[in-house]
Amino acid sequence: MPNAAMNKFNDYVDQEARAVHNWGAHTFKVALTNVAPSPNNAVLADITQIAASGGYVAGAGGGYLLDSVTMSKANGVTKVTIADEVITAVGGDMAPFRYAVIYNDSTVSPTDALVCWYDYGSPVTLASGESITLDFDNAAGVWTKS
Amino acid sequence: MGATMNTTNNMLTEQKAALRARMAELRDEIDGVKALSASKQAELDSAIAEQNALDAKIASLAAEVDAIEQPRLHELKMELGLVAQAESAIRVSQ
Repeated sequence: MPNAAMNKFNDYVDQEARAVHNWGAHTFKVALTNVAPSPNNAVLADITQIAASGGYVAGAGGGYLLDSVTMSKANGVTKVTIADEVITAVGGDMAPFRYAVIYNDSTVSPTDALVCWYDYGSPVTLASGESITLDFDNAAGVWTKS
Repeated sequence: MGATMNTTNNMLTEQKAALRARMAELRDEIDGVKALSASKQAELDSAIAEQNALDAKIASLAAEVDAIEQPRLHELKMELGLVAQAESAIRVSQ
């Protein structure tokens, strides 16, 4: 799957300023939805995740663990990079999804605070055994701050 | 000439004294407001100190985990992404 533009949730910056997010230590996940997120959504519970299917785990803490989130800094610029995430439908077809939503699974207040979402343009359906690669732009990173 | 200068100086001195008096009043009011929250502020400072200690432990453990996993984990995930894309590109007719 091609990479897509990142859309930031409005609340993310506020929560970052309140030290809610720690990219160097927290657990971040990607949830899937076929309903367009709103920039005003703030927590995972605001997102209508796809039904549990094809190995997708829905509900609180749902989605896939982004297990290689790395940070780098150079010349006063910090960059957060997330490695490609390969999602494979297992044990059956996966419900269609169009949007991939990144959230912080470690936050308690607010619970599962949202970060951003990607729009892949049209719904994707994975038949059992099929895979899709979510590309979070390894070169440019998910975001930079200077 | 000299009399006019003296009058101006006196006015400025009075103005300065009035402003200083108002500054003192405002400082007293600020101290009064802060006194109301002093005990809560002390509690907050204590909680922040506890959080800082925990943050230091979290940062240390995160660094240890990273030292074990990276950069190999990132390389493997990126390679998996490439392989999955190549696999998806192959269409097998049924």
